[in-house]
Amino acid sequence: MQKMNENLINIEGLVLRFYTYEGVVQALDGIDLQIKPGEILGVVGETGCGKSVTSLSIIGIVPSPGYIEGGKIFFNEEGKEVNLLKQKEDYMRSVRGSDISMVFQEPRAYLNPVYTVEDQVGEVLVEHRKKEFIGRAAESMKEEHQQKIEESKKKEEEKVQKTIVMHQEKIKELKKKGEKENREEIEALTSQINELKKKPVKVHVSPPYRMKLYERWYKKPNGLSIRPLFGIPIAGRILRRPFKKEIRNEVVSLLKSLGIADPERVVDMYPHELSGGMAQRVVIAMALACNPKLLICDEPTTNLDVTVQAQILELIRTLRENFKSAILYITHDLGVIAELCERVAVMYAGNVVEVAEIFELFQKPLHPYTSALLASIPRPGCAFRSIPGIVPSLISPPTGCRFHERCLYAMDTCMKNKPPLIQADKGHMVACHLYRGQ
Amino acid sequence: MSEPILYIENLKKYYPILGGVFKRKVADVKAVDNVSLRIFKSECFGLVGESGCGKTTMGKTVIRLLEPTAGHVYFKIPSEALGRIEKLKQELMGFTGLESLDYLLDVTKKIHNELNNIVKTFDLSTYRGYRLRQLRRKMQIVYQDPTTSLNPRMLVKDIVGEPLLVQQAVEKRQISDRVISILKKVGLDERHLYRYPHEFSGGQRQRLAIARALVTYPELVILDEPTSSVDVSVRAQLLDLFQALQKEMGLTYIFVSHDLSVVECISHRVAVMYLGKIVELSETAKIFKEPLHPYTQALMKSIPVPDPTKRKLRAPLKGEVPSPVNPPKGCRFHPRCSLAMDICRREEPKLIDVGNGHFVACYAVTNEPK
Repeated sequence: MQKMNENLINIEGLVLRFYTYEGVVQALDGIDLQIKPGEILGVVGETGCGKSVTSLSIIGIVPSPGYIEGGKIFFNEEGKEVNLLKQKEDYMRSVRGSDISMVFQEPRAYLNPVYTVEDQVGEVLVEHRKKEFIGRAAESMKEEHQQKIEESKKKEEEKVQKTIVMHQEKIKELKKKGEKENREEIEALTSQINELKKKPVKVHVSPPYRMKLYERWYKKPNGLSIRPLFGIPIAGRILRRPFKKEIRNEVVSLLKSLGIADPERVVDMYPHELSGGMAQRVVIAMALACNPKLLICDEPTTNLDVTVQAQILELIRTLRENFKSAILYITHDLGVIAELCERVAVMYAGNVVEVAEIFELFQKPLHPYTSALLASIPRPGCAFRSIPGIVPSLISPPTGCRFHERCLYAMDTCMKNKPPLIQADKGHMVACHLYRGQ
Repeated sequence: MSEPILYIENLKKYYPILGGVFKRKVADVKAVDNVSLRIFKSECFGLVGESGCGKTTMGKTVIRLLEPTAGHVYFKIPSEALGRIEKLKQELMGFTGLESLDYLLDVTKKIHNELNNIVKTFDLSTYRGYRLRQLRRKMQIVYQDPTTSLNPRMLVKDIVGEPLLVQQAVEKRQISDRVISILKKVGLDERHLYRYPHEFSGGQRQRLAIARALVTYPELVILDEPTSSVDVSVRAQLLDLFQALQKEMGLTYIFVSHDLSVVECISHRVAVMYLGKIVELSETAKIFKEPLHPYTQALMKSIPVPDPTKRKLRAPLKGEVPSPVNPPKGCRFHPRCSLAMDICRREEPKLIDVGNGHFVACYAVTNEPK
C-alpha cells in the first residue's frame, strides 16, 4: 500500500474493447502502467497498439463503441487513491483539464475556428478556476475603491488645511487692526479652527456598483441569484467585464510563459491566423492553464516540422521544470522519446511489453519487439533491419503472446500462454517468456 | 556518376492569388523559384525541407503534373542537343556590341530560332497530346497517403492495370500478366488481385501505389513522402523495397521527404530546399557529415536522435518559415540565420560549388567577394 501511494497514476489490468460490426476489437488487453509524480513517461508503439486509448481511458473519454471492461485506474489525489473508472461524470469533469489535461495531435482540428484564442484558453480558466478569478476581480475592485477613498480623503484634508490657514490669516489681520475691537470675531475663528482640527475627516465614496455583486458572486460562483443577471443582453456583458479582464490578463501571461511573441495581439487571433507551432503552443497553454498534475501529450509534434518540433520539445522540457507536472508523452518516434523522456513503456497490440528507464531501454532492450523496433530505425550506414510481417488485427489477435508470429525467438509456450509483465531487473519490467526463468 | 537523365533549368512555379471583384491576380505564391538541377541515371535524389518549401510542387512540376510558370525541363535529352543549347547560349552572350545592328539582328534571330527549335523538341513543357502520354510512361509518381491516392471502388487489378490501359503499353490480354508480375515484385501476389484497397494495411496499400507507378516500367519515379504515413517497422520494409526495386529495374528516384533520417539512408545525393530555393546540394555522406549552410545545420540539429546519451539541449532555430507570398529580401533565410550579414539582407546568394560537387548558397560559407 505504501508503494502504491508513490504513483500519481496506477493502471491495473485495464481491458478495453470496441464493439464494431466487424467484431470485437480487443484494443487493450489488461495493461499495467504506473506514472510517478513529476516524471516524463514515454509510450511508444506502432499505430493501433493502444497508446492513445490508454490516455483516453485515463481522462475517461473513450469514444463510443469502446467499453472499459475491466481493470482499475487509480489517481493519487493528495494522498487519496481514487479509482477514476468508478467516478461520476461530475467528478471527471472537475478533474479533466485541471488535474489531468491533454494535448492532442492535430492542434488545428482541436481548436474551434470561430472563437478567439482568448475565448478558448479562457474557457478552461472559467471552467476550473472561476472562483479564483471572481475573487481577483473583487479584490482589484476593492483596491480601486480603497484608493479612491484615500484620494478623496487627501483632498478633504487639504481643504480643511486651507480653511485653517485662511482663518489664521484672518486672525492675524484682525489682530493688526486692533485686538480689542475684534475680540469676538477672533474668538469665534479660533474656536472654529480648533473644531476643524479636532473633527476627523469624513468622506463618502460610493463603492463601484459591481463590487457588492462580485462579493456575493464570490461566495457562490454558481449561485442562482446572480446568474440570471449575466444573461441580460447588454447589461450582463458590462457586469462581467472586470471578470473577463482578469481572465484576459491571465491568458496573456500564460501565452507569454510559453514563449509566444506579442501575446497581447495573439490573444485576439482566430485559430486560422496561427501557424502550426503557435497553434500547438496555444493548445499547450490550454492544457497548462490549471497547473495540472499530469499532462498527457498525444503525439503533439507529429504534424509539425522538425525545427518547430525541436522548439516544442524544448518548451515541454522547460515547462516540466516550471510547472512540476508529470508528463505522459505518447509517440511513435523513438528519436523524440530519447530526446525527452525519463522512463519508457513500449506497447504492442494492446499490451505493455516493456517498461524501463530510458538509458536501460536503449542500451539493453530485453523484449524482442523492442530490439526489433530499435533496429528498424534508419540510421547512417543503412544498417536497419525491418520487422517481418505486420501488426496483427486486434479483432482476432494471436493467442498467447501477441508478438509470437513476428518474433525470432518464439517458443511453443509463446503460442499458448500470455506472458505477464515481470520484473527482470531493477525498474525494468518485461512481458516475455524468455525472461521468466530469471 | 553515370549520365544525367533529367535537366532542370531555372524552373519556376508560381501559384497566383486571386482577389478583388474581378478575381484579378493580386500576388504570387512562389512555390518553386529559379531552381536548376541535374539528376543522374539510376541514382536516388533526395529533396528535403520543411513543409511549404516547395518540395512537392517541384516534384510535380518536373513530371508535368503541374505546368511550370517558367524554365525548362529536359528529360533524356541527347548530349549533342544539350551541348548545342549551351553553345548557342554562349554565342548569344558573346556579342561585343561592336557589330552592325542589322548583322546583330540577323544572327540573333537565327540563334533564337534554332534555340526555340531545340527547346520545342526536348523541353517537357512543350509536350502535348500523344507525346505527353508517351512521356508519362517514363515518369511516374507515388503519393504520400495511399488511402487517398487509391480509388476505394476499384479492384487491385484495375488500379494497377489502369496505367497500362490508358497508355496502351501492352495488349489487353497481357495486362493481367503484367499486373501479376509487378505485384510480385512489390511483395504482393495474385491472391490480392480481386480485393479493394480498404482490405489492405497501410504498408500494403503503399505497395499497391508503388506497383501502380511501376507497371509501365518507368525510368524516373517521384516518391512524394512515401513513408510518412506508415509505421516505423513498415517504413523500414518499404525502404528495403525501394532499394531492391531500384537495383532490379534500374530506376531513378526523386525522393521527396521531410524525414532526414530516411533520406540519409536511401539517397545518393541530397538537395535542401528553403522557401522555393535550393540552399545546399551535395552527396549524402558529405552533407550529413559536414553541412555547410546554416539552415542545413539547424535542420540536422533538430532531428531527434534515437540515443538518449546524445541529448541536445536547445532548439537551434527560432520562429517559423516565412510566407512564400512575399519572401524576405536577399537571402531568404536571413531573418532566422545566426550568421546573417549586411549583404544577406540585400542580395540573394547563388548556388556555388565549394568543391567536389558540394553546392551551397550562402555568403557566409562561400566568402564570395562583394
